[in-house]
Amino acid sequence: MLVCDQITKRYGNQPRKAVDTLDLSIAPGQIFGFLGPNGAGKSTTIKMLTGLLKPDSGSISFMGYSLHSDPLSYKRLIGYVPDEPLFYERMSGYEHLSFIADLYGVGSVERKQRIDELGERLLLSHALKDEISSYSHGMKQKLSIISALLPSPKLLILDEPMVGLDPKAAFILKTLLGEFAESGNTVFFSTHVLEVAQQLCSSLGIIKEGRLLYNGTLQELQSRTQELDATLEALFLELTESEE
Amino acid sequence: MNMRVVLLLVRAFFSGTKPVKDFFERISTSRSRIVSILASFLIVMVFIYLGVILGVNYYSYQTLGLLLGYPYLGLIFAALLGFAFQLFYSLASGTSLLYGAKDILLVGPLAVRHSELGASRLLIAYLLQAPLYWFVTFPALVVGLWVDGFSLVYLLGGVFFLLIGPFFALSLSVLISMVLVRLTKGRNHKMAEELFSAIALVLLILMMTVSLTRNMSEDGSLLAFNYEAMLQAYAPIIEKLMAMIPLFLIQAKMVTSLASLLSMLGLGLLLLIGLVLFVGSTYAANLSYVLSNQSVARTRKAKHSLQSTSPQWALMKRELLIIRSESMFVFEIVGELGIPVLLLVLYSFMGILDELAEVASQLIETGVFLQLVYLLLLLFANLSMISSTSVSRQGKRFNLDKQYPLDASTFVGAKLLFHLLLVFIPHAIYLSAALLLLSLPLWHLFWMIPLSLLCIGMIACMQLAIDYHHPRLDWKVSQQAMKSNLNGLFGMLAAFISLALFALVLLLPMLIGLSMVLSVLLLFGLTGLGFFLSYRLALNQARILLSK
Repeated sequence: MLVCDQITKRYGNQPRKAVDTLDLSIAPGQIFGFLGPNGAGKSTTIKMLTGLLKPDSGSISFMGYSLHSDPLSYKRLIGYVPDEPLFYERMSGYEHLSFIADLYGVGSVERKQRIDELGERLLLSHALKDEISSYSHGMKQKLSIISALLPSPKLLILDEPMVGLDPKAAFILKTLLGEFAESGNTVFFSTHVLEVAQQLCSSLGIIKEGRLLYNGTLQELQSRTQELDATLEALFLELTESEE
Repeated sequence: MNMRVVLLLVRAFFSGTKPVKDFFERISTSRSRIVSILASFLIVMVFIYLGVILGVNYYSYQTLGLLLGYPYLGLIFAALLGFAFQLFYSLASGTSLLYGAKDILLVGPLAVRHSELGASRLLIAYLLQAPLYWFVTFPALVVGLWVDGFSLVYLLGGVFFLLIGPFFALSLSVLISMVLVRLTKGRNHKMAEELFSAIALVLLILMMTVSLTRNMSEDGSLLAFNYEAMLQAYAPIIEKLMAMIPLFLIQAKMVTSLASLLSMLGLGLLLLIGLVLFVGSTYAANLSYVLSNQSVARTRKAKHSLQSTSPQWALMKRELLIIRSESMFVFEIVGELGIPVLLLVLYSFMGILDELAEVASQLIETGVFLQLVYLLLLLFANLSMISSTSVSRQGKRFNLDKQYPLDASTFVGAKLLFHLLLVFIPHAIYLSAALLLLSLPLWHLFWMIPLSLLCIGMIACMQLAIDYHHPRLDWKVSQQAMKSNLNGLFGMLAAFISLALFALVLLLPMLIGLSMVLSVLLLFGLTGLGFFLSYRLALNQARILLSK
């Protein structure tokens, strides 16, 4: 279970908190869609979940491991796909994946098997020998997904993972995420593509100006607003605009 | 802390950035073989020249040290200089390398401890900075070897001198970075760090140059120094200095004394452990401070003006924005434009202004003093990289220019006007001030200023043509667009040759007895023609590049 307990973050002397006392509990097997308008606090939350930013207050833990007191055990369980794929660009795809495998202690046989399998599935095997600097944005995104999945994490955190992916790769990713969650793992992902969120997510969190406006399933949201046929897009707009 | 992880992170950094391979590829990529060989040769020559200059300087201090009772003064001086160079250099990039580099966002979320991440950044910083330290200090070890001869202790001491030396400046710069991050809560102070670093480095280089030329004896031989004058001038300063820098004294003694070698090894080890523990234990908090403030900087609102302007004016404003977008561009350009002022400050500090005044009074009698002053200021104005890297500075955004519905002349015109605004106006001010201060007739400004306009314009167009011909647009670090861009070097070469010809014509009255009026008129004609031709050349190159 991923637990965010009252996490708060303020940047510098800015009057508004980027994230304000956020509470989240995401059970294993769930695909959690984290939605919100631009500047709502999604990326700040993700940076705190990955350990890049320290919350001003509150705590984060996954499967009982606290990010604050046992960061290494916590990080060993997560895979992260950032919104802007970042690499050492002079490495080849294989070199990068090997570096990740070395860091996570993935053995030679297992790494080869995982790289072959993920490379094939995400249609990147042919390019893994090439230098990353020659990759397109979509290829980098695929490599980022492969490296996040390579150490077999229990929690996958993705920030706008569909950006730059061609329709086929986007479809493959959605299937992969579904399978990943079905195996009892957790997916936490942020997106602006509400159709994808509606189709894929088992639960949703809607954030605006750092505050969580809604946390639950789409069906619960539809029942709450008494609009049983409403799309996530319509409900999202209604919810975020009514708060202005 | 797992050392295997630390080494893995360091190895990934270097195999993922390949700084050395990247440097050589930059020289050879899509240039003709001859140009690549010439460029490599020039770079090697510059390094050898600087090495020799340093060696000669150390030799003079080594010999002076023998007279003063400090037999390894050259080595002490090298250790001090290496420390200062590395410190000033590392201050510019210290915080960024430790906490702000882009690759930290890649490795930060991975399964590594913050202490391992911190230690890996320290090791990367050491490996990036040590070559500078080695370059500055190695000639002193060679000089010491030459003076004293080879011994095993010298070899062992020399190796550890080079290995331990970079730790001192690294420790201090890391400490300064950490204190700044803590005090400012990670607020972006990159600009201030780079400003201080750039000024300090320029002053250091100028001081070294002045020191060397001042100490040379009048017979012009490379290793002949005026030791009597040096003793008189430096003995009291050196005595005081030695009491202030015991660390470098012991470091220099490493090459002869086993006790000094062991004590430095102990000190180096203590420093290393302390530094790793200190950086490691504070890394998470400092990284969070720095990353938090990067987000604040992004949200800062820019002032907008919706008033309409001409496309040329809009492009000129864009030139300024491009420069302001990278602090390296700002300092390079501010440094180039401020060299005369910087020199004046330095000379007045070092007490050389009186000597210069004496030289000036002798030159006045030759009858070409006015021309020499004019040529010197023109040289300062034109040895810049403002236009020869102007297209390169645009980087990948240059492709936008191809989409704008504008003729190449608008782009070239904007770049040229921008250059004149930055270079010609300060030059006119320096020139007027120089004539005024040196009590030279001010009416000469009537021909000097328009001639400067033509000359600066001509050279700017040549430099623009060079950059439009083969711009470096694929840079990732701003240094690649300017400081390590060969177009800058070629642009300076073109400026130097043009100015040599300009000087030849200006000094014709003295050389063949031509009247001053005629030589100035001839210069107006030639420079005007040169301006026209180089403008056409720049335009032609711009048209070719924009249509590719």
